[in-house]
Amino acid sequence: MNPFDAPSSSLLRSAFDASSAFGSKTFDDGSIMCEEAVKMALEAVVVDEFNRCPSGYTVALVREGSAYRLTTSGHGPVRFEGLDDASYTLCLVGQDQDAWELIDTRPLDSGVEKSDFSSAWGDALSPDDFRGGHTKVKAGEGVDKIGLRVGHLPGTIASANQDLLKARQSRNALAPGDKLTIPPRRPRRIGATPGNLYVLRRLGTKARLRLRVLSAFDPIGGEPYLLELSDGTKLDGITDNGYIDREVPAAIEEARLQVKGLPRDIVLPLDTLLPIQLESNDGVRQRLINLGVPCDAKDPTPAIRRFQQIVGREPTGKVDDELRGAVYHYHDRG
Amino acid sequence: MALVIRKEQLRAFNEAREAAFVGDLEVFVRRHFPAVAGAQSGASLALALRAEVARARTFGVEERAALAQYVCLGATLGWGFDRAEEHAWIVALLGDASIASPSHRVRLAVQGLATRLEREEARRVAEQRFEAACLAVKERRAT
Repeated sequence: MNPFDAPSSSLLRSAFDASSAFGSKTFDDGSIMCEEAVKMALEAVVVDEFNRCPSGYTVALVREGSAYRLTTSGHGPVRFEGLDDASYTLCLVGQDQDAWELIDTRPLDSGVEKSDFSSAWGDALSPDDFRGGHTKVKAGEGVDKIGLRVGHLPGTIASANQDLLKARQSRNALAPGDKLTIPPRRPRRIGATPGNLYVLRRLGTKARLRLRVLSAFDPIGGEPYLLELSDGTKLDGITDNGYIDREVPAAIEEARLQVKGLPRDIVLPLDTLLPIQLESNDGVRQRLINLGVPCDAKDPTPAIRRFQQIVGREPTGKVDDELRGAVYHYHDRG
Repeated sequence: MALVIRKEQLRAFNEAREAAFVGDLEVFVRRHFPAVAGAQSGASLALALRAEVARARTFGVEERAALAQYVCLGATLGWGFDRAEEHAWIVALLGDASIASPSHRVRLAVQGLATRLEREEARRVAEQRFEAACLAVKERRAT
């Protein structure tokens, strides 16, 4: 087995680049030279705004009356095989024209631009691939994640649902079951020629994670932190007046925070914050817990009183607009 | 006049070509993965490379560059990596019939592995910086 403890990506990439010198010849029976492939290949890679290759995007190569669809594996480009040397268009199926862009086109490396394989043309793209409609919010979804799911930028979803989002105050504090309007996706097509690699960037893949670490309502500032995201990424830094403010992939669901001086890690389920106006008061309860005021679901009154005392208000123990405003101020705006 | 090449001659010809290719792979591995090559005798390395090439062929990989890329996977993860459970994702990718070209599957596997290694390296760097920052804060407070 490998004698290295930690294999190196740079060695691998350098060897990979050099491996093309071996050429694309095969070892067949040797008696007959293979006929040179005359068909061409075309590759397309979808990257997010962190230059990662997400899986599950359908890329279509389109010609009159038919489309050749491939789905990204999450490891690199999709490869369209067996193409005639002609002009085509490329399209990200189900993605709105504003949700992606072409960022680079380059020739395929020598040896991989030709193709021995058959192409797989199917039905032409249809309006159903881009139709709008409605979607119900699932637990743990905000507008950023819904935008990713339905092929729109978050701003497009927000614009189409202004009344609901105004009522909810935050576009990423929705209630499961909230119904959102999804506008039709407007298809975008770009010209494509075999022998090239097209780099397509999905936009709207970044989200902002901003939180404040407090101890008894005092910010923990100037302390090193390590934030581990559910995709395995680790981000380090120093808290600024208790704040941690980072760009993270919109698709992540959870983060684990380690701060020097805190006795244990904090697990942060993301996009699970409920609207503060919910009649069940679950949105208020969640925020009180986040603020370090344990709040019982069956009897929240003691916790509410305690919070009111801490912030210098009359301890009524009641959930009213004034309490919601105070909780919102300290939690969402703090 | 037709030139007749007997099967035995063809076989010998192929064996010579294969041996030359494995020789080229050996040079390639010595150059790009010196620690891996240095940990084995020449004969043992040649044997390992022949075995890797044979395993690559079970996934339909035939092009020379793709065979060399498969060897890159082995040199990075360990010879016979395809039998280790933690690399099952690579085996699944190499056998993914929805990707027509086995050579393209190998390229994706190398790119996927390089990305994973880069992310692992970035994680280690972040952990080291966090530990160093914690130590610096501790030392500053002690003084």
